[in-house]
Amino acid sequence: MKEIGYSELEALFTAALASLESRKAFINSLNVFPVPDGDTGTNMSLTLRTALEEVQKSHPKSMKEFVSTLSAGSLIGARGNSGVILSQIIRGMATAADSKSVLTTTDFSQMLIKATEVAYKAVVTPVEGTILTVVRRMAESASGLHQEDYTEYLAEVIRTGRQAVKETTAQLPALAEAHVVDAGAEGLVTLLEGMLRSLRGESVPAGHLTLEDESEERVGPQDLTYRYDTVILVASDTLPEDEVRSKLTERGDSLVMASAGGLTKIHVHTNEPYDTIQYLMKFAPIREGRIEDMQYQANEYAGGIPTVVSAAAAPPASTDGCAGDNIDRAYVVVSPGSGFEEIFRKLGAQIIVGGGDTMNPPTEAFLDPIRTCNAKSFMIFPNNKNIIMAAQQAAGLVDKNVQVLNARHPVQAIAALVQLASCGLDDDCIAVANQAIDATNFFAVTRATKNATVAGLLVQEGDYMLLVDDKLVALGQSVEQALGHLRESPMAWEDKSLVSVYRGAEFSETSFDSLVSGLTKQFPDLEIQSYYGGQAFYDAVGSVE
Amino acid sequence: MTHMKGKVVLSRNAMEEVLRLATLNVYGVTGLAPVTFAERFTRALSIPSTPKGVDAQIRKDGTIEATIHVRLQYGLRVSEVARTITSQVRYVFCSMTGISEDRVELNVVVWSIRVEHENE
Repeated sequence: MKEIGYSELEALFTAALASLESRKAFINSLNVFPVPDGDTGTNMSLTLRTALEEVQKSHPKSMKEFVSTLSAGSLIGARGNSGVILSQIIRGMATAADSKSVLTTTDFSQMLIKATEVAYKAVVTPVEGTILTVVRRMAESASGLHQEDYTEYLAEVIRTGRQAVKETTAQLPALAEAHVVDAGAEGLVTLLEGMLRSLRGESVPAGHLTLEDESEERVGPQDLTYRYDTVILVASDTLPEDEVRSKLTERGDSLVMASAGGLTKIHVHTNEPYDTIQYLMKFAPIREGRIEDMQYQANEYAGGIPTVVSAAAAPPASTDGCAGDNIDRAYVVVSPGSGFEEIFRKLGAQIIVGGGDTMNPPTEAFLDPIRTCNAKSFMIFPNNKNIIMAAQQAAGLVDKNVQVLNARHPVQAIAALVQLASCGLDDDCIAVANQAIDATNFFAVTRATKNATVAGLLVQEGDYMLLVDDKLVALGQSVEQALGHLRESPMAWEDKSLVSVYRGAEFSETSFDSLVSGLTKQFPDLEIQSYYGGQAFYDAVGSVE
Repeated sequence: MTHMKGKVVLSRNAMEEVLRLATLNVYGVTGLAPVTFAERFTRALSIPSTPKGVDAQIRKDGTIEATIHVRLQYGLRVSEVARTITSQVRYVFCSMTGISEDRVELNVVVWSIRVEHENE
């Protein structure tokens, strides 16, 4: 192909999105701290997805209409830092393509040059080794290319891009320390690779399509023509695309279709999700499906609650302990596992909210039970530094006396609840609880999910890390070995008398027993207590108080 | 380390400088805006100067509240850039100073948007 029109360009961007979504998890993992979080891949694909959804809503009839809608869509859809930069790159490309009806490879080079220009304008001191470096390097190489055929041309541009991505590791110290490439840069090249694959008629690498890719979606306040956000995974990658498209857009919009590795993912907004399912089942069996009421989400959002819909949402909070009407203080406690939940119940917690490191409960998880519970006052124990914010938001949204305590780990909540048991009506119970929280150091042992260097320690994927008060203290080849370094961690040991340790859901009882006896040897002068915690991801957690 | 005596004092000025530099590295920020009356006055008179852009206060309980006054590039989603400023600046500030993240409160004031006529 030597020239592309606006509909081909749309197809290329759609393929780019599929490519980004298929590598989202990998791009997210290019984070510099070896605990799972980081969301560059998610942000970039959501940004591009919103842009393409805008395009589909407006049915552009020309290049000018297409690029300006794409650019406007990426601006309103921009999510996170990487999304903002991507929106600038798209804006630059749009500016250069605006006056053309078809694009030659020379025009595409101009688009990359303009993208670089626009993207660099928004930063005072550009740092080398980021997405900016990579877009610039690709633009520079593109302007020297003479290939007229798009496939050959893009392959060359991507070759330079890949090389530039590789070099980011050496350009930024943080990346070098973690032995990773820049996530945004990787995302940009992944996006172009999707375009190239589509030109070559290849599909996205197999086995990457899942519903989880779309687990987060923000919805704005609006009256919706089509109410149900419907995502279906069909077990076939050879659906008659044109036919399906025209059928589904008859009574729906925001259609996105992507095929890969024997699967097709169809995303559509419709009022008749059952018809959609029935229709798709004519072609192939349904692998998975998800339907969400966007009107409900929009109402929630308009009500001032930022709704983040998550497919992996925490289980609903239980308010079993809230039955009586005469409760003075209700404790709202975030629990990462069944064992902890039982302990919190025994210590008098009325409301348990499920959540932990990889599963942050949304604001509503606190709001609903607090609204329905009849206590005079509430104390929330967020038990994770990332949940404190959601808890505070909930506290601000209800017209009740709600205090959010600074507990950053479940074991701190246990220490506080023990002290609160003897706190009378006239005492300053908040102070009592906070004192107990501050006096409790917490530790956790987990496996590194990738190679990195943190706090001067060279972490290999699979190493066991001992974290004390959320900071990496030591490494080991086993849970026991990592925990063997507990004594070396900086804390006021002279004031400590008790070490409690809680077993994770995936850690065997026998290994745990030997871990506990190891602790007894390590701390002959301290009392050791052990319990079942049932937390995911961390084999052992505990407290020193 | 634990046997060393003495203390480290971080001045307000030093904190503001760290916050300033961190802010200027955020994508979308094209500059800082004047904070004090004197600065705005100087600016009104077109006397070249570098605006401070950051106003940091140390509260009685030892927590820090800082307000960052920025100018942004036109054509960006302001809410996302502001969010990036708070998270990125907080991260840089806290890792450079060793102050824990929950003791720092950051506010962002978008003072103006830099518009440029694009010669397309």
